Amino acid sequence: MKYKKYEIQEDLLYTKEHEWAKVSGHNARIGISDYAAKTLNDIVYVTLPKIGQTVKQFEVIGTIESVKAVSEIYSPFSGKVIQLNQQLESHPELINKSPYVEGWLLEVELSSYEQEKKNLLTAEEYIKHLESTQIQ
Amino acid sequence: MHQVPLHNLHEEKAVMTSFAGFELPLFYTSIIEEHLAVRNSAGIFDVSHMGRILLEGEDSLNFLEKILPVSVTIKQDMKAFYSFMLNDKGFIIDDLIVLKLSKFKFIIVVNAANKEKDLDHINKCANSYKITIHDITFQTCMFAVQGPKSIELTSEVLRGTNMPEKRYEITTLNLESQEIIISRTGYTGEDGLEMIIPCKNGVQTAAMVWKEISKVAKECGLGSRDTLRIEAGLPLYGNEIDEKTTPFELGLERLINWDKDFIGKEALRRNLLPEKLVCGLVLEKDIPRAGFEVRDQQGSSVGFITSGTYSPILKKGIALAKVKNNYAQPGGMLFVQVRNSSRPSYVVKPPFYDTSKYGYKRVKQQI
Repeated sequence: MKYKKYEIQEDLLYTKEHEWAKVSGHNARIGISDYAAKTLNDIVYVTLPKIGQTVKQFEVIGTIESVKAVSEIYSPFSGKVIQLNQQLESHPELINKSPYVEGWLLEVELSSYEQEKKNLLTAEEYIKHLESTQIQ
Repeated sequence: MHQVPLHNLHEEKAVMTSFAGFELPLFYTSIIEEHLAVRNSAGIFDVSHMGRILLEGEDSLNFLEKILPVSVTIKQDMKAFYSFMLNDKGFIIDDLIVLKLSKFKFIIVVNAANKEKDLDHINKCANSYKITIHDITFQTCMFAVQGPKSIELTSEVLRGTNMPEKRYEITTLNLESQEIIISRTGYTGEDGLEMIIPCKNGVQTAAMVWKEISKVAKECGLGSRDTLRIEAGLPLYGNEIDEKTTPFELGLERLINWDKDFIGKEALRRNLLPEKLVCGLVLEKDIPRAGFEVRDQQGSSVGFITSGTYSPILKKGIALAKVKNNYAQPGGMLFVQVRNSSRPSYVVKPPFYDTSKYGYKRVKQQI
């Protein structure tokens, strides 16, 4: 799907802060949306939590630094961090180039999937959210 | 919110931002790409938001001698120069570029956010002088073409027209019976041109110039304009300069002519040693941002960051900082408080890049 010039991938869940989560089995892969990547522009550093760390839904779990500004990453789900995208350390620009595939951030083992998924937006709802915040 | 005359053209392509009451392009493709285009080849910026004040009349020269600390008389006609207006306390009201077209005609280019304040000050000081003052900001467009290839490429697309040959020189050129003023100036550290194009009777000439030059120079937004000027160590009003800043803090005493009378002179004389100085900092890790605290080795606060960014040339975080004057010596080590971490940084004298490879003083490559 597309909203204006931004790619919105259909099979993902989104936060209002522009993170996405792709659930498979008990795990979720997490990243930021094409809108977030394009708005931040030129990402140069990413700080992520450590493997084994427990995170809560909507808690700040890291930062993304672009040339212009630093912004926080909010976790879409609660759980335990089980994997990080090691490539980002030397190639943070992967987030700009491929926010849904090569530019993923981390994976968590979900602890409260059923209760928490209703707090997230589907692709259609996320597009409505972008529209309502009058994003160009 | 104001718009520049070519607003519609930019809005189609760029991510826009608001700055000094204007809606302006932040970037077209990427801040880093635009930055590198200017350092390595050429880029074009629409800087029509900058305030442009036309000063005319027989007392124009004497008037500027009064409100600027620099000697205006010794500047040749058709030359541009950098200066600043001071209040009677010796603090900077605004920094500016003056285009001296003749003894009787000047254009003063000021910061967009300060234009009304500057006009108030100019009008207040103008009482006894035979001069006229016109704000021509909205009757003209202003573009900056910057980068090592900017002169050559602009002269090609505008068909070999009369380009200024040396830095700070000004020429005029007629295009579609409009007189365009071109100065060899800029705000990126690179060689380049700034052009003022009349658009009172429509934007077609300005649009033509933008379209032709943007075929050979990358379109650039405010994002790279900021990273380029930080990398070159150029101050920005609102960051390095405010109404509590003297020229000494910026290391600009060389631009003061003590042999004449000017507004702020007496106060400056009493205030020769600044408490703080602007210096450059380079970090090995993290990006410093405006407002971050700077500490010494013992952990005492010695100043703060005024502008910070990622340098696409150094591939490191760089900053301009105001620190206590004995800490501003190049080679020193200071610590920047980046959120919860204290990051070591070394003090440098900007520009941050190797001036034999980048900037308008670079060693020209032999063909």
